[in-house]
Amino acid sequence: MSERADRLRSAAAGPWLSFLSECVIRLSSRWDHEGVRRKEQVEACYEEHADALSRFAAALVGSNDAQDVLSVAVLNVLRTGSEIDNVPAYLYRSVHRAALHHWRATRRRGRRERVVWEPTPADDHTVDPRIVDALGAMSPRQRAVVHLSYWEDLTTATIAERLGVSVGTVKRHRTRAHAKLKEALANE
Amino acid sequence: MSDNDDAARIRQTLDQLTASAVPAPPMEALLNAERPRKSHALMFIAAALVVLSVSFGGLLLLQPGGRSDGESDATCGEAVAIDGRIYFRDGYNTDAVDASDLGAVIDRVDQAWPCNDTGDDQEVPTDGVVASALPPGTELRAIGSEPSDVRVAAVNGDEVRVYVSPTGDRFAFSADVFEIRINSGFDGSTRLATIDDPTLVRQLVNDLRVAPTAPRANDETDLDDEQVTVELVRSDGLRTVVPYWIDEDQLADRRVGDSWATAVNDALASGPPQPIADGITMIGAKGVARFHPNGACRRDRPDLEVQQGEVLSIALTDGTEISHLYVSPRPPTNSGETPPDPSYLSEPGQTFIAPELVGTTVVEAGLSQSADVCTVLLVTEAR
Repeated sequence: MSERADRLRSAAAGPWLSFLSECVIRLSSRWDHEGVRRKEQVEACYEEHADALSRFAAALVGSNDAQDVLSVAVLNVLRTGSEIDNVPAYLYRSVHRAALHHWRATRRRGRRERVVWEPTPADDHTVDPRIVDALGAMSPRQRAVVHLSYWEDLTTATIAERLGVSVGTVKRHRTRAHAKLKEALANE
Repeated sequence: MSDNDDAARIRQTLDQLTASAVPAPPMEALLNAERPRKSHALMFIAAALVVLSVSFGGLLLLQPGGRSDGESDATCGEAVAIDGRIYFRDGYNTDAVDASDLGAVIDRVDQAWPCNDTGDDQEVPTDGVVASALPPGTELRAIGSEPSDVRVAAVNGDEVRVYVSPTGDRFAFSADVFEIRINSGFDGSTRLATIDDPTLVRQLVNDLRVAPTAPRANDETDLDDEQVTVELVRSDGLRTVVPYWIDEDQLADRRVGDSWATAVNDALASGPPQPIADGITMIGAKGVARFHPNGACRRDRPDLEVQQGEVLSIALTDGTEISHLYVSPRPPTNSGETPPDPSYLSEPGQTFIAPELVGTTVVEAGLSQSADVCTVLLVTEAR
């Protein structure tokens, strides 16, 4: 570790690079010491919540991209440098963040939403096309709130904790999402 | 149908839509999924480089009013570095500080900071005072009694330019706040609402000061997210102007709680009607969309409900011509690409086709006779 640190320090040609190398040294050091414990902790949590997380990712970006988003989210959690108090909430938040990033990075909202929601089997009577359309017209945050409240049956406070936002924010997104669902379900 | 039936339908639909995502792959499979293996050090270097380039280059490029008087390259914004501490031009506050607000002279610009966005000039000099868009000799002064590690003012003749350090505490000022203005997120200055109840103002400022610091990530923004600008009017005659993303609880670099969202939403709900801009209207099946000066448009107050693809007539007063129509957010085409703006103006000056994207859409129009104006359409699904 110290040899790597010396190499990086001696390679630093300017203030930015010097700052950068210090960051790398500190982060690498943290990784060396905490990485193993963190991975075990995350692995245990992932095993317990894997299916729910995967469904959550699918609700946000569709089944086709769910695994990619899940993969990015888990990697991000493993790389985080700070202490994690609540690993399940952190994993959900990470999936949510990765989904938002995915959504914005592609900037192809309309097309993706069609791709996301089209694979519905036409003869599946448990799927309501009006709800599918309404979900497709929601923002990822609204969709996240709908999934966590209807599918996972979580309270507002728990949803706020999972998404890393305030209770008021969850209520606002839920109100908007409900308005869309209500309008959709009013159409026979 | 009852609410319980609706809830059951929603649950069943969600169940089916996400069913193919289970069983989830084991974690090892996720970590190994077509990802090239890199050393941790390399990954950190890459991540740190990205963060640094985005924070430096992005801030430089995104500062409003970044063009100097022809002395630096157009791709660069304005920045000043004082002994290694960097400050970026603050577009929001440029009109909020004038000569009478200036404090002591803290330094003068030693040399120009060449900034062409391509070379090694992104290295911040650790000594002296360098500026990308201020001539050597320009006075840098404190602003009021604020600590100069937060903001400084550059004085060039009659012009005062404000520079802000991205690491300084914007709320460390000692003056009282007696009014909170809620301004447009578009220009930071068009007033939408005001909070002037002294008790509420005091409580909000206290809540803000104890709120945890949390830098905002750009990728957290939804298209539907609402952004306004908050202007704290201070007893020392200065104003602190910061962006507020209501749906993210993010006020500048602080994560504020529900007290702020509630107060701002209440103030917005009771805010005065927006001024009307003459010269242009759009006529749809459900009525007439009036236009407002740019900055006064509010997504929570749509001017007209339209259907996807509905053709609207544009009515112009005599002598008014449209130079452009700009739709934000721009709806995607079938191929997923963003189309050029004129595609929404099927016959320039005559009709406008409502976008396909359901939700509120801001339409900006450039007029020959006045500044740009805007209207908000609530687009619903075509029946």
